[in-house]
Amino acid sequence: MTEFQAVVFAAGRGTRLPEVLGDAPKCLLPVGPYPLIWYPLNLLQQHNFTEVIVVVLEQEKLEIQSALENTPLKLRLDYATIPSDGDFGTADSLRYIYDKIKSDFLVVSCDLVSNVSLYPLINKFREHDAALAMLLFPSGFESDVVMPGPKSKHKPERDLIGIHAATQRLAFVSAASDCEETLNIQRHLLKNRGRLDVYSRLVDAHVYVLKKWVIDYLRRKENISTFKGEFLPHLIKKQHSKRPPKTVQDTTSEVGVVTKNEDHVLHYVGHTILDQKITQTSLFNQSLSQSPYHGDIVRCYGIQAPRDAIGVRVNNTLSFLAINRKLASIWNNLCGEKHPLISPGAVVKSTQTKEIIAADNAKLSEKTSLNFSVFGPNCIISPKNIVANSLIMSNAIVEEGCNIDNCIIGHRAQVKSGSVLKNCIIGPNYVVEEGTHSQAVHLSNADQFMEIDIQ
Amino acid sequence: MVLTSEQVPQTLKSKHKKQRQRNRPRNKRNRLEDSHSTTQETSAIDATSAMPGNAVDPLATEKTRDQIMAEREAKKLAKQAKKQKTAPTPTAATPAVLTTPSAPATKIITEVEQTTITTKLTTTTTTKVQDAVASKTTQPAAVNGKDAEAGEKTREQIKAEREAKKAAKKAGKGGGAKVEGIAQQLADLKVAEKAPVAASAAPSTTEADQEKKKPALSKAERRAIQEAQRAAKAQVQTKKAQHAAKAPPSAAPKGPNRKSVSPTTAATSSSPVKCPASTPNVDCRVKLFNHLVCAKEDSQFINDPLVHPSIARLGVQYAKRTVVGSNARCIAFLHALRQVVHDFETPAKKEFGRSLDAAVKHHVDHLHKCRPLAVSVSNAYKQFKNQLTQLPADVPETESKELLVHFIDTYIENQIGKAAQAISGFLQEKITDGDVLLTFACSSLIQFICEEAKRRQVAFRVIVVDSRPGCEGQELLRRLHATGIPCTYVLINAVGYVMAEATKVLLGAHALLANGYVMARTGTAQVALVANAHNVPVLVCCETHKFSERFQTDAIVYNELSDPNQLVRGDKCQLSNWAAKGKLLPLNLSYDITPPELVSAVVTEVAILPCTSVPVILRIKPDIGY
Repeated sequence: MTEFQAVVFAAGRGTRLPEVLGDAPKCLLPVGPYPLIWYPLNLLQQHNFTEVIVVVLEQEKLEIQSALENTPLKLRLDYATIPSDGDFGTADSLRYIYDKIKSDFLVVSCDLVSNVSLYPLINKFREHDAALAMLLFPSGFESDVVMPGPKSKHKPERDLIGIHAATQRLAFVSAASDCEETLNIQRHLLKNRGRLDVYSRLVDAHVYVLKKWVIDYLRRKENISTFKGEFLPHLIKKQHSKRPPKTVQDTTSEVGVVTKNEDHVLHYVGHTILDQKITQTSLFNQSLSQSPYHGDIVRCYGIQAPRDAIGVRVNNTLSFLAINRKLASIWNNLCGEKHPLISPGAVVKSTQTKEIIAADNAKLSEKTSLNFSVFGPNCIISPKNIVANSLIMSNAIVEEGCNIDNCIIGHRAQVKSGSVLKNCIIGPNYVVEEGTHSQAVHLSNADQFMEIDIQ
Repeated sequence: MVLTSEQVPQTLKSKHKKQRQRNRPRNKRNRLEDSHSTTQETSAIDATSAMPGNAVDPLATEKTRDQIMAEREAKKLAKQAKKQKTAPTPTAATPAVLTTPSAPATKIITEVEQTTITTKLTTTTTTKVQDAVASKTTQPAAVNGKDAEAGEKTREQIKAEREAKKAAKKAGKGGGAKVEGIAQQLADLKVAEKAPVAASAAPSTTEADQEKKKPALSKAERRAIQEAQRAAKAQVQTKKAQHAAKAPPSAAPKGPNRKSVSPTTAATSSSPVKCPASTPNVDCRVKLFNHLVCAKEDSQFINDPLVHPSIARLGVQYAKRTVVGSNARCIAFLHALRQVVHDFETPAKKEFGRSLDAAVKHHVDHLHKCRPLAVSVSNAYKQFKNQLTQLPADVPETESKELLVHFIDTYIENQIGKAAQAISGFLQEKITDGDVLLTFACSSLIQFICEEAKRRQVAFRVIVVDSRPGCEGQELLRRLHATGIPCTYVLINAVGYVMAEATKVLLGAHALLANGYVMARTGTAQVALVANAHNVPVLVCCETHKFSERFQTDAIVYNELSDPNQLVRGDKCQLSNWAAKGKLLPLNLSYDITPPELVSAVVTEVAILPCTSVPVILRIKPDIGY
């Protein structure tokens, strides 16, 4: 019997990455020499997981499967496909894979790139027999990266997270956009629970450790669609629930009573008399004037990652460029020496290179100057090119005599000879004409872009 | 006396010769003449027979001839070298005239001084040695004169050497010889100064022409005398300097010797201090307690196939002290073990009992790594193994599992639940109205007893004694206060003040050892000792499932080390950052040992017993079949 199962959500559509996505799945965006989904899977592999359930869209399964087979990964992946036509949220996906979950489980998002150790999170979950333990990162990884393309103000999404300092229990989690100007805090949180710290600069890592009964309870709550936005605040609020007194059942309303019992969260918690005995006889207590855990049976904890840990959520174009830009400098901390930055399958003939990353089947010709750039799989760089601070995505072609600086060349894009591009975003499948001189523009196929907007 | 008188001119001669050697050649010749004249005078005075007198006369005549020749040569040299000196000749004549009338007076004075000098010479060694050297140097001059005089001088030399040896021996015995020598040398110098004056007076009477030339010599003589005095002073200073110089070299070698000794002693003293100091620094552990195993850091594993999830959770709870207390740990252990039995699947081609035994052993080892097992947990594990071996082999697996689960439930109910009720029943007879119960730290059994007494409407009070770093008494205080029992809370340093109020001391126990010693939270022995000093009865409440077969009389042989960082009370505490300080090693022991002399009785579910009855209970317990 395994202690924890791992679930990786990889069915996202990347609605916040329109400039670079195209028709490829979000989880296969190139981050360095490997696709994006490889990084959470590698993290789980380092923590002794042997089986991972990967939730993917049905039509993307084959593509994802073939991409992951080329990467150095020893996990056994169980692909759980959800229909492509439905509007599945993360909670809906969890309900969909209910029968695969047999023990406590770990939920990870596919856009996590991190080297953080999960053991403190796991031990906190074990220590207090918690219902939920989530991981929190300090923000600010992409604050020093210049966004190419037209000038637009980047507004990062923020969460307001309330944590009790002494016990690290979660008081509330809500998106900052949900609070217009005021934040309403329950009175009992301040009155009985001691000091409350409210953070607005922590990033939710989308790493959750959950009890098995949580998914039973989630299965009951059919109206909840998203995990982070709806179910998480709901579960945190349920910490303060008390077991209702048993009422005498009338013959006429017997069905109603049963329904009420099944609807209550404490119905699903496996808290036995022995557990009560252990709590009573144990001398442990973090509070001087209250009973242990204030008598709460449902307990949610938030653990902050160490300050020096690397933790990035690649969920928008800026963070996508930032992680690719800085991957060479943090690679040893992130993955160690096992995986080289320049893939063995890449063909690098250039003699002037500095901190570049080349994926499989990348062709970097001679007589080129390549600095601080990432080259995706199957891309072709012709001779007499200068590429700096840029990201060349998969299947892109750069012809002779081009000068590219701080640009994103999209998937299957083509840059004709003699082009000079600076601070530009080239959309997927776009062809840059010969001799183009552009600066701070977003070049893409308007039709496809319109299609993305419609979606 | 004759010998001594003869020695005196030899000393004078030797001094004169030394002076001449240092001075100019003119002065040397002049002094030779002076020395000859002085010897003639002394021999004439001392002579008693006519023959020596006759011998003296031709010597005088011969010397006068020598003097004339020397004077002539001196005159020639003076004229050639210094023509200017001829001008002051009239001034030199007058002092010569003045000196001539005093000649007989000086002779008398010299005789008196010689007698005094002879007495002093007996004690000196250096002067006689110099005399011997001088006598040797005078040999060629004597040979030039007459052979008979030479023979006499050689005899005198032998005698002088003998006396010198004797004097040397005496001087060795004497301490102030050097000082006397210096004084005598000064006196000799004075005598030498007067002798040339007398010598100069004699020739003046012989010739008037020579009187004019003598003032020039007298100038040279005066210069020689002054130079001799300066040389003598210089010699005296040099000797003093030598004496002063001898002291530093004698002190200098002693200094480095002492220094060389002190660093060796410092090294020897520092080396034993450094060696044990460095070793604990590496381990951050007190040396006396190296044999006690510290709990390791957080468990770094996920999805270990050999560890059940409930055991993994329990291990972290043990390590983090979330489940604390002997009873709580036992119940939690049995609860997790129950889930292990429930989820256990027998491997293929293996027996259920043996494979389950191996799996449970692995789990218990894992828990022991997280935190050393409590006595209650060890006893529960032994009982479980005993039950496992007694399983019938032909029963199907599900029934065996049910039997084991039933055993676990029965064990929890009987050993902990009913035992608490029995102990409480015994103690209710002891707790009466107006009682003041004193207890230390926190014990679930003591809490149960107090709640039961409260339920029986007994009017009593509880004093909770607590100690750092755990401060577990606060939890007991909270629980008793929630029940409505009046409480007093003190730290262990104030136990002496509150013990006078107490009528009984109730203590919980982690274990009761086979020799009657009580193993409990650190501080329990101190409370029992103070109670004994105040003649307050001490009752230890302990279930029989906490009885141990181990013998132990101190808290060092076996104990459990807690985290030393618990002793740090914040950033301003002196102990903060103690690992950086090389010689500071906090020690946080979990348990101490209370001797049975301090315990009035042990209250168990069997009976109220003395401490020495533990082996009896351990022996009859299997037969009774608790």
